[in-house]
Amino acid sequence: MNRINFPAFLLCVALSTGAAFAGSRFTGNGHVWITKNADGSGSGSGYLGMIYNGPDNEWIGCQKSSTNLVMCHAKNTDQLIVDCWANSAFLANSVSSISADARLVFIFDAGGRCTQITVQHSSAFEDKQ
Amino acid sequence: MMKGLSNGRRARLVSAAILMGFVSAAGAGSRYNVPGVVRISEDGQGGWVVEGTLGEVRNSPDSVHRISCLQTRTEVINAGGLPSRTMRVTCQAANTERAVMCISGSEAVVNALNGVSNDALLELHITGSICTDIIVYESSGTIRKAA
Repeated sequence: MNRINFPAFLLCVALSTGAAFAGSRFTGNGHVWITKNADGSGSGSGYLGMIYNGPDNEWIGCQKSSTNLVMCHAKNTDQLIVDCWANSAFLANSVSSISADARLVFIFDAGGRCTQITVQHSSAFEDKQ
Repeated sequence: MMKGLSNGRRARLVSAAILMGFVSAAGAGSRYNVPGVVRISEDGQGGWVVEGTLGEVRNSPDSVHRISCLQTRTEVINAGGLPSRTMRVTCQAANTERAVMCISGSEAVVNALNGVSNDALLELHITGSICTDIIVYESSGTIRKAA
């Protein structure tokens, strides 16, 4: 049996999403969040639906090709742009799972190679309007 | 009950259950509603079966209802040029009676989420804290997320 108590559940949700739920809807601003380290590595994340519906000049996305070339990029409200590339059928599978309202996180190494892609689907996320 | 079934038999049972959930909407095509919005039921073998559509759950007036799956793939190339790969999926669901979560590192289970849309129906099969199966159902009848 894996019945769990509610506080533990909510903690897990907060840890896995990086933000706390309030009700059944995600109440964060959903903006593109970019980190860039001194060695050139970094990350980009955001909520596709909320970014689309928002008024700000920002974007985030990933693409894959028939040769499994993967590219992810993002621009935040400070107009900072990051991108990464990888030639990987493995990571291309992550791009396959991105939907219009998903939460997307990509991490890249100092050489600009995408090393991790996270995609989250949730009833709490806003759809593109 | 589900555990002893072949994948084909299980799929047929799931399909039958889904068909029963369809109701006609006035002036519109049929809509699929999950009983209780998020259904979390025992599978008869100590595990759980969870069912919910991303749209209907989001639209629910009950703030407890939720269903979510997060998948992460990591690929690091070592100095010798060899890739080290890991993958993981974490799913969570809650209704007014209980909350459940599960994880899996199975490639097949993680890949089940490939192509999932923003209004898909997710069916989770959970044993212990392991997601033993994830079924994604896409249909004209699944309810869209409201604004």
